[in-house]
Amino acid sequence: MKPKQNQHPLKYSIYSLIAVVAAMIFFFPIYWAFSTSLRNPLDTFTVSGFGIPFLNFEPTLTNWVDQLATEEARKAVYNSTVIAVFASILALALGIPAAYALARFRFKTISNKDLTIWFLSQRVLPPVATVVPFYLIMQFLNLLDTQLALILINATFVLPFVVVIVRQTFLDLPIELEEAAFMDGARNYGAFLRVALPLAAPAIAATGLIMFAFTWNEFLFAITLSSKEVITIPIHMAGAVDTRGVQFWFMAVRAMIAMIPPVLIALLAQRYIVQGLTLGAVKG
Amino acid sequence: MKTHRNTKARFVFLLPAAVWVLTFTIFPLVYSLYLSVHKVETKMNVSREKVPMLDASGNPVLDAKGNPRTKIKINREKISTWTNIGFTNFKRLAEDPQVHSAIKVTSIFVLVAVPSQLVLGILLALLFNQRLWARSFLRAVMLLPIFATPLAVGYLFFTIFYEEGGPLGFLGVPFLSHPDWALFSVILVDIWQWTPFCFLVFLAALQGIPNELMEAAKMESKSKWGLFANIIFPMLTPTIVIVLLLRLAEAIKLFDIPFALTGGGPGVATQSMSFLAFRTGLRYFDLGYASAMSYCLLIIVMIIVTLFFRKLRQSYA
Amino acid sequence: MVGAFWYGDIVPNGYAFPIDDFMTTGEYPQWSYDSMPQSLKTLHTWEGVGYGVLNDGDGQVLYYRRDALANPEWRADFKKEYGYSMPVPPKTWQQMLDISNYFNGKNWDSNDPDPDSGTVLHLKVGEQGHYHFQSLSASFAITPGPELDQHHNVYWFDPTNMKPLINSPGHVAALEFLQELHKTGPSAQVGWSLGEAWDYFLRGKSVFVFSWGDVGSLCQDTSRSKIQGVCASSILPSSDTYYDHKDKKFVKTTNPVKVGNTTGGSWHGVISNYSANPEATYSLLSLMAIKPASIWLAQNGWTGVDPGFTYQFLEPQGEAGLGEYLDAGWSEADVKDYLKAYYETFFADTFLPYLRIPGSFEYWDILDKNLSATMSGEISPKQALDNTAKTWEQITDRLGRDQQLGYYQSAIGYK
Repeated sequence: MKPKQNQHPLKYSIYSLIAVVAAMIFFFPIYWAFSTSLRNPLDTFTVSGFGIPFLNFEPTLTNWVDQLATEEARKAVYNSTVIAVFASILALALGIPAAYALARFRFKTISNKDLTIWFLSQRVLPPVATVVPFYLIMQFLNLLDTQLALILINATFVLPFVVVIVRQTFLDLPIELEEAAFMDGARNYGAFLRVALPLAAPAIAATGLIMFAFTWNEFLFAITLSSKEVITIPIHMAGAVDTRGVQFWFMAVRAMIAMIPPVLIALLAQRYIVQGLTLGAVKG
Repeated sequence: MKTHRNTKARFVFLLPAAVWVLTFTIFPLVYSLYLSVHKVETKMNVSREKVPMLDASGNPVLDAKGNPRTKIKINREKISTWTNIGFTNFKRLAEDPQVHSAIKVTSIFVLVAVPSQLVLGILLALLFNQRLWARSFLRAVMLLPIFATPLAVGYLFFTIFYEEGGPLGFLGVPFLSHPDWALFSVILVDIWQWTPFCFLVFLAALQGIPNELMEAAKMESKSKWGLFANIIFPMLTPTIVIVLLLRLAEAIKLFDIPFALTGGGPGVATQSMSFLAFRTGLRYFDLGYASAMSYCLLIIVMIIVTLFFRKLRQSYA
Repeated sequence: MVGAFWYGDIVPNGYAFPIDDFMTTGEYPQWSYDSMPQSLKTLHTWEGVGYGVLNDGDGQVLYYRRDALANPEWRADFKKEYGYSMPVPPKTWQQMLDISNYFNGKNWDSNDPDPDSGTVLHLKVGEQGHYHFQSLSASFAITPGPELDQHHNVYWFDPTNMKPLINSPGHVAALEFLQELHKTGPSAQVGWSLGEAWDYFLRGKSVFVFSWGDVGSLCQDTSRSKIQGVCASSILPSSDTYYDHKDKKFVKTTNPVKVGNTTGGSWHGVISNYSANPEATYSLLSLMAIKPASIWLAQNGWTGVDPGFTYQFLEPQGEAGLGEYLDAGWSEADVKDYLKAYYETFFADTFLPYLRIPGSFEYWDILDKNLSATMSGEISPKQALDNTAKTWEQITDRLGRDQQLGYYQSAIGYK
């Protein structure tokens, strides 16, 4: 269903106005973080109106400078980046072949459909159900407070997404191209690597980005398995809650640092978000 | 579905992921079940000894007087005792007021937040399905909350809900200091974050309805409402079911927002199941009881999931 | 870094490394438990063996606005309304409540045109709100006496059978009082943690806050505080009525004893038995402990670590000179009050005992949740403390009553 072109001008104005207001409501908190990050501690909770810099208060970059200068902040960005990149790569490395298998071969004992759904079902597992055993396992393996532990676990939790989304991408590719490759003497692996994979690359890249965002935002496992060394951005943020309480002027800076990458990803991967977040059930 | 000729290669493709998922989910779940019927006590037996200090090449380090320097080595022996206590932990669940409250909090949260997101999502999707000023820009802005770090969102909304002069202070509402309002505030934050997702999915689904069908339907139905109730809504139903169940499964996991926004309070007014299980396991270190709690949550999710997959299987057909 | 309330969980289970040997070898920076008050020393040892190196000795004191309480107009008006002249600082909690009530809702501070409050509290659940209750209720619920026995100087449990005392009439009266005090502050404070409450006081919005040493130093930080120079402090007031656990009745007194506290985490360094190099760790920790006041100030700046070492107190009680503080930017009036308040708090004769048994965190967390429910008006004080006592009994039974009793007795020194 496409929007009508011949709409009444009054209706057009009213609808547009409502849409603008709605978008503003959804944008406001992000704007508010930005505004708070520019305030002096004394102004944090006392600015009037909608906290517009220069109009309602005298903005300062002190919070940003202070925060970016801290070792912890840089360490948190570094850790979060490493963990999110490697968890995404690991999930893609495991998930893409499985997705290909589910799209291009027929399994007999358990049907392709049930296999796919089994992968999916991992996603609805409440993470808290595995938090305690993972804690004990990682303690046993001496992996508490390491990047590796968080990479392994995050990869596990985003793997189902990869399988399901990429499977759908492969299904949408014409199989004939791969068959042509067989004619040229390629084997299964060749057809996968040289034909299917390049064609699916844009979707795979978008999936990777979405997985990156998920891992970047993950908090429960990070706070459980890390204590001192492997501080990720969400833990760094919760760390502002030390014995001295939350310093919201710094918090706002950290919130901005935390939100900018995933929010950019949301814009970049727009086309794939619907499919990604509905596990391929709805196509965007 | 057209497929390649079946070769053994298919297992090479599939198995790594399958084995991975099995190892990383089934094993912890079994371990967790085992934990839930045991009482774990860990003690360390420690002894200290002085050992000679060695340099990089393995020679003893001498002090100023020429005597070998020593350092302390700590010998540890960890002793864990596991006592089978049967279903004691599950019995505790049934009698624990904190558990009852957490189930209540989680249920209210899910039952209010999720339908609100769906309704708002549909309304916004219908709106954005019209011709609008700067439509694709506004649509892009609406996307932003979806991936905003939930923990950051929780802290952010603390400043927004600040009752002594915050941006919503003029409403005079005790957003975080009254138990009922606090739960409502948590719900509000979730609605803010997830309505855009519902909106986006419904918009995609609306745009998937063929134009011819719409034209034909317009001929028949007199009113806008009739058009919606008789044509659009039925066309959206499969999508609604999927979004509903996806959101249910996600909403039950509620953790980050109360953690940052309310700390689970006032009292236990916003303490969700996940939050309680987390605190019990990793703050009180009552591992067995926390495992029992999370199993209880798992069972609730399973019930919903069973519903979910029957529907999802159909949409995969 | 560990909180003092963790000792019961880490020491008996073999996780902490005793440091007594290190302290006597002479190879490390020399410091001694003797340069801290007995009250704090206790928190760093377990059954006579030293484990902790002091870094931040916690305790709560009362902060009040010197200018408001000294203002002759308000004083005259207060006397007319309450029939006695406003004591500075208030000696009893009841006097403090009167003063708080008197100032609440009046615009007595010229920093903004809006009305200001009496007392601000940090009551957010999981954010140390229960510490407020601990320090406040001590003088309501502890029966003072020369010795510690079954009924005197005890606060948490009956030391003969581990029955909780937390729902005793004295504790309940204290919680009812805390509710009254809460009414003289912003209602939003039910959801506030430390930072928000302190900032409120620092912005000049309340007459009183009772909290940790951070406030005293934050008052001096003009990027956060509008009240440098008028930020006075004193030891916490005492209740004019306490509960006698022996005779099971309330006792009214005109001159209540001062009750000290080490309320808080008193976060400090303990060497883990997992440490690969305990010598190096100790060396670092002890270096932090021997700092003279000037370095201590420079290092901690305005972030504030409560003064606990003798070198931080002014002469004659300690060894620090006033100049060092003035150089660091303190207001003279503020710092004199501040150090005196802490000295009295840490060296008081009657003391709020610290809960140091296995599971301390869980006991406190339950108390915290119930207190929060009371402050938000969900349940009554009596109900909250009865609930707490009931859950405490379950925890004690689960962890083993005899074991808990043994640790409790040795922690408070009951014989």
